[in-house]
Amino acid sequence: MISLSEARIDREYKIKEIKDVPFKIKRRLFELGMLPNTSIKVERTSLLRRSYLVETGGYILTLRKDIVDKIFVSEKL
Amino acid sequence: MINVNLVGNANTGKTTLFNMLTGSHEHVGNWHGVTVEEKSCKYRYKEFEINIVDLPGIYSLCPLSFEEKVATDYIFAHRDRITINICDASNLRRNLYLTLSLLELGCPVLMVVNQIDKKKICKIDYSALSRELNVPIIYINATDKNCRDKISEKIIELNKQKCIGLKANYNMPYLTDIFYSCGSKLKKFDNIIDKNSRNNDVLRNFYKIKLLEDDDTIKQNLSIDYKFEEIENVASKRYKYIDCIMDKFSSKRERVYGKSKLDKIFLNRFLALPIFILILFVCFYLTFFTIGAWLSDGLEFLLDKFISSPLLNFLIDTCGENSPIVSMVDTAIIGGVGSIITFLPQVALLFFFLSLLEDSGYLSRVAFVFEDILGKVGLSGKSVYTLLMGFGCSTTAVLTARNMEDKNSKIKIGLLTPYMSCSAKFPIYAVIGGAFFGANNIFVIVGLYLLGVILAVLLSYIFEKTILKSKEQSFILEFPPYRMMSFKRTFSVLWQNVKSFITRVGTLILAMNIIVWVLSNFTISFKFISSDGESMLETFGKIFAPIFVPLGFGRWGIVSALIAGIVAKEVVLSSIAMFNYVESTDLVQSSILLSTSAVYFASNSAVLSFLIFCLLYLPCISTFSVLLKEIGVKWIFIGVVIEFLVAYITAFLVYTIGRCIECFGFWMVFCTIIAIILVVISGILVVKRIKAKRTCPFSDRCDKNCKVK
Repeated sequence: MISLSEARIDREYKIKEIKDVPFKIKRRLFELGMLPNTSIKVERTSLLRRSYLVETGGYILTLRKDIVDKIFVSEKL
Repeated sequence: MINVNLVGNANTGKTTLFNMLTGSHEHVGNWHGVTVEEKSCKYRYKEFEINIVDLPGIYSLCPLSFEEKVATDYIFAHRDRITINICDASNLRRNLYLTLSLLELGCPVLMVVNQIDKKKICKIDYSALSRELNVPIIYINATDKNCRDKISEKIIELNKQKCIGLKANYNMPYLTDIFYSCGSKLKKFDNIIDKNSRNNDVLRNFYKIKLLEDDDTIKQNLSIDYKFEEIENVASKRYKYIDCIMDKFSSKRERVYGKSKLDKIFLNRFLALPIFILILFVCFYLTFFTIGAWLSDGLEFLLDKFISSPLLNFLIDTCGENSPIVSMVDTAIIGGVGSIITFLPQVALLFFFLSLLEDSGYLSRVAFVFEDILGKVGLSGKSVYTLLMGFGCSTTAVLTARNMEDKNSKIKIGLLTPYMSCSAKFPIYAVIGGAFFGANNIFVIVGLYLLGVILAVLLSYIFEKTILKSKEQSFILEFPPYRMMSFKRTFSVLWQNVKSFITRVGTLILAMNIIVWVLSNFTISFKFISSDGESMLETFGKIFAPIFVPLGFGRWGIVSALIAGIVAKEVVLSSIAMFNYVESTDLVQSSILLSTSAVYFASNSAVLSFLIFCLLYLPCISTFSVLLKEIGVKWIFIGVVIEFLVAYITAFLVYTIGRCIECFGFWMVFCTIIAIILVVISGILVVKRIKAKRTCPFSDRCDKNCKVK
């Protein structure tokens, strides 16, 4: 299990856990479909790697690095 | 009257549908969170009057930002109303999450599926989906006027069902499963839930689900202080159900919503920022210096030829040359309003380019690119939208600060938006700057715009470190697909902006000009002054004028224009034009203004100082009224003091440096400034070194009792 911020760009992973994220943000992530066992892919990062562009649930979303750090994923088999 | 709420995810076309149904022209855009407050409008269909309420976009009934709270509070308060739930067909799975939440609440729902990107959507069996959810479904293209009848008929049908007491019976199969798995946690609060739901099963289930979602509003209403922490369970059960119905009723989707090959260029790590700057530069260049300027010249010629000159000649013939009416029309209307109206094409073009950027879907990409920079100064990438809109109009831009998730960020962005040079300030730079700097005015204008941005970023950093530390923003922002503006929309945007500009000039600015004319042409004893005597404005302006002497423009005329400009920034220019008795034609050509304004501005540095003061001093009265609602009196007061000080100090520095250059030459001043900077840096380094010496050089190895450490 690795953090999404360590994941390779353009490779598909499965969400395993979202840890230590403020409750309201965690709830929003779940509402947006970022639930355990959902596929997720990092599309690209910004120049200073402060924000990430991820593809999940059939759409594209931006997330800040401090949140991406706390999303744990495993490689999709 | 039938009341209908319009609810849906962000950027699904709610306001487009609202405009289509009601014939309104509310602001729309291809961006997450264009609508930030509820807007209602009535329309007639057959014998019925239907009142549609457009609400800000939401993803669920648990709000994260201020504008989402506006929507959820409204839905809770009016949950018996017919609710149009607009869903985007190209992202139906995620949209259905909100639909389920609305059905759990027991709203009479009419699901409207917007198929704006027809080619990008999967095939859906709407009739089967409608049967499954027990909800009427209409699929439309929100821009197509033909669907107005379809939706109105359905609204009337739903209203009839509501009137005869036929309540929608939504049986969400996953609810039993959720309540079964969380039964033990809910059991403790059964009494409270039963008491508040008054034997209403739908309401009882809704309370239960909201408690499991840890919704603050519902927990507060029921006076329950307990952490359920079951959101993952609730969300996964809802999505399991959605996936099940999507598998059953729709073909598999291959396209990813919002993904585009263009992003390889626009979001390239190294090219993204230069591309944005280039796009902005092209927009401004076309607006202010080429197309916009040509159209302005044309309009000015037409106004002079067909309106100003004939009107003035007619009045002189009928009333005589020295009549106060001729003076008022000549100075307040032709000189004052005329000096503003010629900028109509430029203002309309600026708003058009801003709408073009907004509609294209590019602004979300810009927010992503700017998150790096803005995040470092305590803002979110999302604030790019508010700041960019500030180039058009600060008043509407400040409202969009509701996109922020915490109060401090909202206050900060509200206070910083007026630093973006709004379209009303451009005529001041163009005319006054043009009169004194000639062809070099383009650099002055670019410099002024940049100065506003740099000061906003700098102040944000200072606010973040001192009085307005913001909470970490999530920066969860959905990417919309790229879209081209249609011809119809282009025309509509231009027309709306022309209309609102003419209305503003014809009402507020005209009234202000007449007031300023009266104050500057009558004495305190209300006698008309033709050549000598002190006007009311002069008496008043002379009180404040000495404050502005250190800035190089301590004359009553300029000070009075600045005070009048608080009502609307355009009035600064029209007042100066009036005091100089300059006709609009002369004013834009700038030659006469140059000679007459020499009375006011003794040097080019005084002009520059004045332009900078205009850019930075207090926002206009309509921005004040919005700020009052959004950030409160205390912060407005702090903001006013800060803005005035920033404007005063910056203008003072520029004027002083400018005067020094005029007296001692550029290189002398340049070398002195460099020397001062070097002395300051050396001072800081010396202080740091002295501080460093006081700490133990082996602090990482020595024990806790080390005194030096």
